[in-house]
Amino acid sequence: MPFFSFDILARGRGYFLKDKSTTTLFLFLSLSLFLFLLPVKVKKSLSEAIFSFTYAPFYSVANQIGELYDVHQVNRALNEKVTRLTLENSRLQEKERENERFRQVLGFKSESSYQLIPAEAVAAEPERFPSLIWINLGEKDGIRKGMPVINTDGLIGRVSEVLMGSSVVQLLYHPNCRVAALDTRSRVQGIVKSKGGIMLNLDNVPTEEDVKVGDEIYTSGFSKIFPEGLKIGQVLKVSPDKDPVFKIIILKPAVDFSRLEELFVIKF
Amino acid sequence: MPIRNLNLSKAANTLFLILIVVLYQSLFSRLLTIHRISLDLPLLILVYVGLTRGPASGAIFGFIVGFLLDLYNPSFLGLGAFIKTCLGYLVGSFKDNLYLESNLSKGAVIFFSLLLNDLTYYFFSSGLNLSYVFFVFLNYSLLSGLYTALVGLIFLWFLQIGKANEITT
Repeated sequence: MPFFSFDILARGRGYFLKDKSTTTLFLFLSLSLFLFLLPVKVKKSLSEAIFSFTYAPFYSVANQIGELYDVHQVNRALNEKVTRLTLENSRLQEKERENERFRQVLGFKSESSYQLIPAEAVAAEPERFPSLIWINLGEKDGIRKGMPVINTDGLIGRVSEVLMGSSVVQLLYHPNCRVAALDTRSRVQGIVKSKGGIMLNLDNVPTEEDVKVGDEIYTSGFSKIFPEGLKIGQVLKVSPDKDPVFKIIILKPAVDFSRLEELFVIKF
Repeated sequence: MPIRNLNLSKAANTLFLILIVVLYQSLFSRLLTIHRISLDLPLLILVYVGLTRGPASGAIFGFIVGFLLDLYNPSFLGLGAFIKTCLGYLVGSFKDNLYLESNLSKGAVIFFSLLLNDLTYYFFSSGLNLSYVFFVFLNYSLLSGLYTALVGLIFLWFLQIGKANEITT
C-alpha cells in the first residue's frame, strides 16, 4: 500500500508537472495576447514606463562611456596633430635659419670681389614679357644708375632709373640692353641683346667662329657696366647659313624672368 | 528547505540571465553586430533555459525576454512575448524528447529557433507581407542564425570545459 500510494503520488506529481507546463504556457500566451490587444496609446505609455527603469539607466551609462570614448578619440587625434605641427614647426624653423644663413652668405659674400646688395623685386611692367622691373632699393641705399642686377641663377639686367627709395631695372629683354659676352668654351666674344620673345641673341659672332649648342655664355667684362663672369645663358640654336657674315645664335637665359623675387645689385 | 534553496537559486539564476539580456540589449548588441548581422543573445539564453529547465521555465523566460524586447517596439507589444513564449515552451519540450548530447544538434536547435522566431515575428509585424519576410529571412535571419549558433557552440564548449574541470578536481 505504501508503495502504491507512493506510485500514485509520483504519477500525480508527473501529471501535475505536465499540466503545470501547459497551464504556464496558456497563462503567458494569454498575457501576451492581452498585451498585444491593448490600445496603442496604452502600450506606448506602458513601454515607456518600463523602459525608463530597465534599459534607460544602462543607456545612460553607455552614452557616458561613448562620450568618454569620443573624447579619447578626439584627444588622440589632437595629440597627433600637435605632434605633426610641432615637427613641421621645427622643420620650418630650421628652414628659416638656413634661409637667414643663405641671405647672410649672399648678402656679404666675402669671396666675391663685388659688393652685393640684397634687393627685392616689388613690381614689373604689366606685359607678357616685362623688360622693366622695380626693386625696393633706391638712392638712399647706395644704388646708382647702371649697376648690374643679378640673382643666384645669373645676370638679370642693370639699373636704369634711381629714385629715393626704389629703382627701375632694365632686364636683358629690354630693346636697349646690350651686354658684352663670351663663350666660356671657345672664348668667342659677342654682344647679347633681345630681339623680342623670351630668348636672347648673341650677335656679332663671325660665321667662322666656334660656337656650339650647349655652350655657356658669360659676361666678358669688356664693357664698364657689367663685370666679367656673370652667367647670361646657354646656346640653344646656331644658324650659320642665314647670314653670310655673322652667325645667328639664340640663347636661353639662365634666369627665369617670370620668377624674380630675391635679387642682388652689384656695387663695383 | 533544500527545495526552497533550489528554487531560490533558480530564481536568482533567472534574474541574472534577465539582467544579462537587458545589459546586452542596452550596451553590447551594437558592438557585436557585424554589417547588420546581429547576435541574438536573448534567444540564445532562451534556448539554453528551455533545454536545461524544461517547457514551463522556457515559456516563462520566453515571455519575459519577448516582453523586454517588445519595449523597443511598443506598437507590437505582446507579439514578441507571444512568439518567444511558444518558442521557449517548444524548445523546453525537447529537453527529454530529443537527443541533445551532441553540440551540433544544440547548435541546430539554436539556428532553427532563430529562424522560426524571425519568420513568425516579421510575418505578423509586417502585416503578413511575405516578400518582406523573405527579404529579411535571406538577408539577415540566415546569417544571424549562423552567427548566433556559432557563438552558442563556443559558449557550450566553454561550459563543457568548465564542467570537466569541476569533475576532475
